[in-house]
Amino acid sequence: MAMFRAGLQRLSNVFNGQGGILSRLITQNAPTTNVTAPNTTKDVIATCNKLIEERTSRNFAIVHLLGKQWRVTDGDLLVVEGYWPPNIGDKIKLDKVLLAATKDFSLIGRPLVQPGLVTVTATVISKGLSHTRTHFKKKRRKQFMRINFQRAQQTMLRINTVEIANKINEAPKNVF
Amino acid sequence: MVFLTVANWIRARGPDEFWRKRRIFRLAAHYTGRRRNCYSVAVRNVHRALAYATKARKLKKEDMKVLWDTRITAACEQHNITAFSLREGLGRADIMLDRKSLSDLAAWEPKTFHCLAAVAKEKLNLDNFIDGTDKKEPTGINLNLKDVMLEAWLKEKK
Amino acid sequence: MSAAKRVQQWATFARTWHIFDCKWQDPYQSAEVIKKYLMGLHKPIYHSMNDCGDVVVCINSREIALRGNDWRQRAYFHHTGYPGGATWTLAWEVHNKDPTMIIKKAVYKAMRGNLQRRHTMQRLLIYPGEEIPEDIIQNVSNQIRQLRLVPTRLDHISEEEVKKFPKVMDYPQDYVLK
Repeated sequence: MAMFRAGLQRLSNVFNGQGGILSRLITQNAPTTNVTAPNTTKDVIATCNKLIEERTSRNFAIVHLLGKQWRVTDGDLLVVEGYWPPNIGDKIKLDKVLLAATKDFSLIGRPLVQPGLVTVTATVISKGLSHTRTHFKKKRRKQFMRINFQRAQQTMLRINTVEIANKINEAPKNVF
Repeated sequence: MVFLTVANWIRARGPDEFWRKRRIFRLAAHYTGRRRNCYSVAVRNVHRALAYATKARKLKKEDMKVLWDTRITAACEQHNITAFSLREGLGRADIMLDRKSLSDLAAWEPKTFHCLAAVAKEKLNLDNFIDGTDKKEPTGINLNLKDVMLEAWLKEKK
Repeated sequence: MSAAKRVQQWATFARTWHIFDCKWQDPYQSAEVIKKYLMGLHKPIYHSMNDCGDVVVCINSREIALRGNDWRQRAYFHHTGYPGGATWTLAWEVHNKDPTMIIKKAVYKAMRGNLQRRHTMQRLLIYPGEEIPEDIIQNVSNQIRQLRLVPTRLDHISEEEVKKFPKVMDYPQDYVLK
């Protein structure tokens, strides 16, 4: 279902067809990674899988939640606005992961990454109301004035973990 | 307007007028000069401020959209792709990232943004999509030093 | 903020110095490009309230090119503030008086009028010729690409090359050149 483009910094240079001789002419602002330039897709995936096993750096993911996209990493706080059923203390898994990445590679979903590949778990830590928003309208010289007050429901979420649970291009572990 | 002395209550002319004015004065508490002390001035300013705040909730969203677009355009320029073709390429590849996350990635995760730009380019290349925009000045990662005559110019001067 | 983070912050917001050669460039089109670098619009961290703009050094501003008959037709307006104090100066007159004025005004006009504009303009350095003070040129680390190629004029090509160039015909002896 989902095809992955696991892009390494060097790989995209291969895309551009600017490796080799012309590399002298490419000004790279980012420091080059210590990973040697892989040549084929297989190598890229193997390298990524090795990195996933080693868990060298912390991950981040972009998740889709209540119509909005959030870039999250371990320990983040999210404030979600509007009616949302989960209650305080609920542990939930955010399934709609659009993109997940570490320091060295990115997994880009089309539009979502393969289910079970990336797990983002979160805990609902508080539910409450936002500050009072005053909706005020007035027209000059027309004796028109309206004032309304509104408070939206807010749910605060703590992101517990963002981890790449499985290896790329492998059948998902049966977690359900 | 918090009266701690009983003597001050003598001037208060009635419960309703006092509370009505107090409501406005509380909102004008952080103003300066007559704007905070004089009711007829304060009420005008408070009304204006509330009306602005109401409108600004919508404007803020529009402003953010413009800011995200600016940031995406800036980041795209570094990768020698136009913002339009980035969106087109990502759309064709079914990558549904919105402006907010794209600009977030551009600012905080430049390597991931680089990959996205490469994916968009590759997808458009596969689709034989030609971006008609004239990209006059590639900068950043695709800047070809051969075309930049700065060094030659500096050498010439010395 | 840790020491490493602090350095990262400095590096992120450090000013880059760009150089732009105005030779044979349209000042109004180049102003759009120069503006981008001055305001920091070319950085993904841009925000109108953060100070991420760069410095642009313009050289050869004496040799800008205006379109059409702009040199004769375009007038720059100035008002002293007193009654009858309005003056209109033609572009060629302005340029004779101060060769940096036209490009400066073009960039100023390209930016939105807000409190930042005058401070942003401070970061634009314009020089009429190629001579730049040494302390400025040593900061420069990038060149902004010119919008169009500088055309080569016939009188700048050496006579030998002109003679060598294949000709279709020669003018007859009695042909009167205007």
